[in-house]
Amino acid sequence: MSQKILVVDDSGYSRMLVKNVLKKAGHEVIGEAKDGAEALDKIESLKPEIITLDNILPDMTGIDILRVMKENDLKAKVIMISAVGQLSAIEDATELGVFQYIIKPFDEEDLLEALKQLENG
Amino acid sequence: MNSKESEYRELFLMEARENLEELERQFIKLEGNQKNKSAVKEIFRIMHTIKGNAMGLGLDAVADLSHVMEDVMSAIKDGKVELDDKLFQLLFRGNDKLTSLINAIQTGEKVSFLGIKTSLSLHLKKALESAEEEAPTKEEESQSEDKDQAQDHEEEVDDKSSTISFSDVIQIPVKKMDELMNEVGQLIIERDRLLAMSITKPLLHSDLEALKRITSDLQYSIMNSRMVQVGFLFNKFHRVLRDAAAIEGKKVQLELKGTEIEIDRNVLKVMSDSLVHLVRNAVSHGIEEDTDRVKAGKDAVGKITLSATYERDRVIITVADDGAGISAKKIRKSIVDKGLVTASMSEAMKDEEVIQYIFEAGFSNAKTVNELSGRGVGMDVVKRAVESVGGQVRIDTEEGKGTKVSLHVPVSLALKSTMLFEVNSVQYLMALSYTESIVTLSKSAIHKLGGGLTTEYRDEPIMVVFLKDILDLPHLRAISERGVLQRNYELTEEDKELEMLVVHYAGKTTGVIVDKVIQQMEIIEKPLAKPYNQIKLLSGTTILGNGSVSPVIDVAVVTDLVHKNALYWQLEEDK
Amino acid sequence: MFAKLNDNELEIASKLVFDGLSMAKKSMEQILQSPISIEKVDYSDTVKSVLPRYLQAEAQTVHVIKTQLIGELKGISFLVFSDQEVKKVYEACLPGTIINSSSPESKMMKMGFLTEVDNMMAAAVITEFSNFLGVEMYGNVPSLHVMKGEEVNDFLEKESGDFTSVIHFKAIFHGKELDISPDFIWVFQEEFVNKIKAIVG
Repeated sequence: MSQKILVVDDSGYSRMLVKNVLKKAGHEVIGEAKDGAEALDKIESLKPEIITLDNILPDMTGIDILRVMKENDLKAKVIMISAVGQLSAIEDATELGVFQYIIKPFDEEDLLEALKQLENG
Repeated sequence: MNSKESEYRELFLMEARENLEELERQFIKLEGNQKNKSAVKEIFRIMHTIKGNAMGLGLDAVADLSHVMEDVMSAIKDGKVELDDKLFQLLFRGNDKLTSLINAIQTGEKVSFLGIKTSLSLHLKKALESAEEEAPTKEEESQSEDKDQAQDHEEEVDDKSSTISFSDVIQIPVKKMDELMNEVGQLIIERDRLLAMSITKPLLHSDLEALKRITSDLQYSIMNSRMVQVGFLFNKFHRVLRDAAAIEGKKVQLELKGTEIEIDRNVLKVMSDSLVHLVRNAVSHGIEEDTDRVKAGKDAVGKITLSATYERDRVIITVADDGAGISAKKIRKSIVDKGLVTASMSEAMKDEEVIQYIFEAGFSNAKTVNELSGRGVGMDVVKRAVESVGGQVRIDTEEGKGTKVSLHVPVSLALKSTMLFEVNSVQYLMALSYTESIVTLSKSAIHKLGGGLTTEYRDEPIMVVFLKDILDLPHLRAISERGVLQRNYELTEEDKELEMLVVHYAGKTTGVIVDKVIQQMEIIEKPLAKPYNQIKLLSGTTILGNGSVSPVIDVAVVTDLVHKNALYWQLEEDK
Repeated sequence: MFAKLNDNELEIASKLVFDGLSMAKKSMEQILQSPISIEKVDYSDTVKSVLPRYLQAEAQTVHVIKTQLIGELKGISFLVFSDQEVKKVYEACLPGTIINSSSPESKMMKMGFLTEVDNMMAAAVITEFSNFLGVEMYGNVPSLHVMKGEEVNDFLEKESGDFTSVIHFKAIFHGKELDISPDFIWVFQEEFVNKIKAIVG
């Protein structure tokens, strides 16, 4: 089933990679954001069902975004895709309800697998 | 949306668009030179204005974003945060978003601003934190403390000069002016109709009905155009509170209620200084140090609430704090020490009466008068200001819980609600704002007490006076002669039914007995011309419908006379 | 370098650096889809003339990608490619339409690719350090600086200038198939040494 997805990453290259995988899997990418401000605005206005989220953005961290989402009751399933791989970061993200944490560089299969798990609940 | 609200929105939009244009110019200046202090100040000021106005109208999105931008600009202005390229870009984006939000007020389009708001506040938070990290080490701290104090003094000077500015110009929405124009047009048509009619036949009372309606509409519309929302004034208090809290080193938050309440611009203007005073008082004397608050089981952050509500033809503006309250015990001691009352008198007084002394000129309960205010210093000024517009001040305080000062002021200066009554076949008026009720009682319910009279009102003893006794006095000083305030009591038959106005002023309730209560009346009060302005008992006069001039009795003076007289006799008896 | 560490501590520190660089190597292999080896690791306490190969190459264009560390441990990393190396990396990883286009979008994409390579490599090292030393640290968003060869050493020195006392190591990565040998330079505040001591002690 196609889901509405927002892709958040400061690197255009990374966004392209993620988008290609998502499109291949038949999902609809409804928007992209290159920093936290843009991401939050689009989360609020586009109401994506899934968000792929980089953890380090020019103006804030992915964790910041998750917190603001929580405070403002903005709900979406989040797959964190980040080069930040330390346990503490993964724990923080998990505590804030991140569905899956994928460490960059990642294989296509990792993301597809995460999306499949997401769909299966 | 009601028409009033949309009117204000139009006014807000008009102002906001001008502000946005100015912001655009200032941002361009700032882009050219990021050290441009005047641009920083100007952007700060405009953000502050937009925020204030938007809050008053409940435009939350605009208020939220401009609030964050104001905070950032304030930090830059005060040198707490450096304006670098990154921050400039964020501010620039914020400004764009603000423009979209303001435009969206009209289009109803939904604009999301959560992102930029978060970016800005996170940037500010981080910048302030890293500035703190670089804060001086311990050895340097004692030095910097001295410096802080020096700065405080500078601020003090600053502070006194920066009272709330209140423009002499009021902005009237075009729609309101159109209404006025329309009503004046109708008035002219009616005038011409009546003129034409009067040529052929004498005018009847019923012919004037339309004229009556049009003129009263016109009067209402003009009064209406002088009305402003108290929110416009209240919103200026975020700054007042922040400054006061900074000087006192206390944590206080401000809550505004009833910002949509409308009041005559002049009344509001007269109140503005008093409110500044009350808010500063609340910060410096009401709110405790945060450690004391926590000990007392309160939230570390103090709260001050500014609110407005309607009550009949009055607006009640209150300044309430959740601080320490005022100790009646301390004040009782203080007024005895100052020789304002004797020890035995002070013991006889109820706590509420004792508290009223803070409104006495020159009274101060503060141990040391600090730069902001000593509670009490200036409370007499507040009282005078409120009374000058025919209002009154009430204070409620509970030790450990907080203090609430209420200013009961008329909605409009133009019209005053009064009660018309008769004494010695002359018609007098008294402001309704002080009148609690009108009761009928028989003479047997009244008893002599000292040099005066008393009765029970709602199970409490109150002082009573026959207004005739006071009006018959050759001069007010004669009141100290024994029995003058009991003369008409003695002359009255035992079973006679009497009409009594119960007035409440400055915490004192007094029963004023008149010959006959006639009716409630809206009047335009005129000040007394010389030399009659020397007559203390009267606050002014008005012209009644039948052309006769009626004096307006000053409740404050009557209450004062009666209660001072009572105290005098009590003192005599003590001797 | 690391003079303040005893043998035991030195061993731990070297192993940590090596593990970090190995993770970075793996990341690089995965992105470039080509085998990479670590040719050499140098330690020193200065960044002066740290890259001698650019001292003579005045006219050459060099791409330096910088990542600033944020968190408990202050530091900075640089990934340095020559112009030819950058072209080779593009050839290997990006579609021809992007490589040959000079549209703003394509330029952004190319820049984004380079910074992303650095981002992942730096993050790999940081992840190792953070987990091992138990400190909160992250790499900020990387920035790309393009300059003349003669400017490189000065640039590195100037950018590291904020660190009064530095611990510094440098690795040369080698991609045989791609024929590239980028430099990967790390500068840490001396606090890094204290953390190592604390862990071992």
